[in-house]
Amino acid sequence: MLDTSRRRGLTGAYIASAAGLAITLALAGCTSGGAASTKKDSYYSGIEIAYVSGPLSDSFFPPMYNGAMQASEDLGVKVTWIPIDEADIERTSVTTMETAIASKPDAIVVGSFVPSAVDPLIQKAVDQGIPVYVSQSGQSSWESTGAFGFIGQDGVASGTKAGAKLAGNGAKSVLCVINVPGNPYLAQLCDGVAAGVQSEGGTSEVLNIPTADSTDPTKVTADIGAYLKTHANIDGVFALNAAVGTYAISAAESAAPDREIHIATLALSAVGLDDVKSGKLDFVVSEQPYLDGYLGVLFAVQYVKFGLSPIGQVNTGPLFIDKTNIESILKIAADYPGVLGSS
Amino acid sequence: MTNADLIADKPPAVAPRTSTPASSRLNSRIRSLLGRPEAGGAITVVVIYVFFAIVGQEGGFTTLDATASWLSNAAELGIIAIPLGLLMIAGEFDLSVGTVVGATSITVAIVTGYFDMSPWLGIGIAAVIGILVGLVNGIIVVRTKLPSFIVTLAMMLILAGLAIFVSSSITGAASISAAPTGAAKDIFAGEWNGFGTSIVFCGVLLVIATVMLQKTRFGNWIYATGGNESTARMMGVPTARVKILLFIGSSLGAVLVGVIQTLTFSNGSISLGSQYVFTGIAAAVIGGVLLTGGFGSAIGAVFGALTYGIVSLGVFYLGWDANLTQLFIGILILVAVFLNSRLRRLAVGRS
Repeated sequence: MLDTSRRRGLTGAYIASAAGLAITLALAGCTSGGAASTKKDSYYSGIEIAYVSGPLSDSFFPPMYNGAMQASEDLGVKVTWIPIDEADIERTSVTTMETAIASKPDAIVVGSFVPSAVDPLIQKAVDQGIPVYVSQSGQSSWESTGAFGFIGQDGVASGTKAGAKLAGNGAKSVLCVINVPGNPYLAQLCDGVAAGVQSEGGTSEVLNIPTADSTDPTKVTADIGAYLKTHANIDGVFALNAAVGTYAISAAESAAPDREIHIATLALSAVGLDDVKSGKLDFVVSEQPYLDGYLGVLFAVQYVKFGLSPIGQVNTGPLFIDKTNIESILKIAADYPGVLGSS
Repeated sequence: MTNADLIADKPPAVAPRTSTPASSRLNSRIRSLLGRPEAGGAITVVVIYVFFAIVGQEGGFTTLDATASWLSNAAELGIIAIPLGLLMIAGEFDLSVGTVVGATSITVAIVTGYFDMSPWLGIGIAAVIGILVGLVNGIIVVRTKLPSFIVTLAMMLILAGLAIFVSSSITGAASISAAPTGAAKDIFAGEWNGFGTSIVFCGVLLVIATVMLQKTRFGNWIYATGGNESTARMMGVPTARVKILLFIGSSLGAVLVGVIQTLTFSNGSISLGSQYVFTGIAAAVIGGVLLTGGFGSAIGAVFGALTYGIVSLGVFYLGWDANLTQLFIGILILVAVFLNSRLRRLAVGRS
């Protein structure tokens, strides 16, 4: 037997490790699953869906998550939310999809953020007999992967409409801000914005926020402000999520207070809606991600049970929110937080 | 334990006896095993794996698909952690590994995807960039005696800025798709039933690093440099050369992972691999490499990489609320490192 002091040291190590694991297990017990299936004998009970999408730390995704969780509750099915890490987007897009496949769900709903890496995995899931529905990202390539449908918006076309609208409001030189550098979809959105602006006779530029800065509001505001100061021609800014839109407004106010800058964003938040009402934002473009989440789950469940689903692409966007329809939207946002956009 | 013991990486000395009862022979044998740098890492990875195998079994953690997934990922982390661990044993840090991966990725993708040239050209250019980065890191640290933490942090920012500047200037984008074909794809992005070639690369690197540390003079020099640099220099160890070579090694490890991932994902991005600056050091430390230098092993770094790989992917199979993933990873890492430090104290004899 080891002598007493050694035994005490070893015992200490075991106790501490056991305590650490016990804490972790206790937390697990309180949280089990991003899944709620409260109706035991629901029509669809027993069906399990894996939903692979973005992290809740990005203000775009909470409404999608809320939609998926509401569908899980309404339909009585288990939905497991598997988020990628936006700071490690290529690798985690692959590992989350691999996890979804290995967990053997009845169906997978996935946002294909890096199609060249994820599409082969969608094909692999389909080959293994797991039906896949593509949600929000991956609109240009989903059909060739064997997925049974797509819900979301055509990013490029929406960007084009937004760019044209911004230029139509008077912005001749538009800056498109990419807050997740390396995300191909966001790059395509900015390409669309450029095309839209050019169709109205303007020009467009792109600002990639360094990854290290992108979650820091002060840094993002400073980065945008610095760009506005050094590029006096910019009179329009398009942001790709609600938070960055807010930072763009602050940046414009502090860095270029005497310039009229038209600002618009993709995805809305409570603050963003107030800014549309007060005129600080020209408009907000919404893909209605709550529908992506809810209907994504619904379509997957009905496909699993009956083999029925909508054919082709289901469009949930773009919905343009500007001064003409802001009042009714504000009322819904107040009554149902977390559904239209982040709060 | 004397300094000499540390430098020679011997297990703690045990006085020989003429007739030893079986129990105290077992006692000293256990103690000498526990004193090895990788002991904590080995125990940790076994405990963690058993934990996830039991609790995650229903979610599919023990399936072949899941194992291929976490093992391939852990191997990629291992390729970063082994040379990074060697550098840490020699007493220095490299915070630029993450951006070397990103710079490699964008180089390979631009050459292959944007200019449609052979991937080997892109790999070659990336290797040259990696060697240059390691050389600059090493020379600055050795000449100026500034802490490597700061020097490589600065290099990280410089490289990140250069990468996005070059990428935007040439292609206008920060993410470029590249569909590789041919031998390069089979070698770097090949897979067998989901198990990637990264596992083979990691294994080979492990063998090379272990042989170097245990059997060669250079390996002794690494421990000497990290244990006590001025003493080592007085004994004739070329500490400057050791450090510069190790900085180059850690950059080249990052280049290899950048090539593997870019060809696997058919996509290059400036932000690829940015997490390795944290996870690489974490893997080395979980595996028993001391932050203060002079102690550690390559197999330890691999155990650390395996542990991190299991934890970071295993949490998804537990069916827990995905929002708490990072929290759980943090707690489990803390437990692993604590276990390590208690085991080492126990073995070395200071309770």
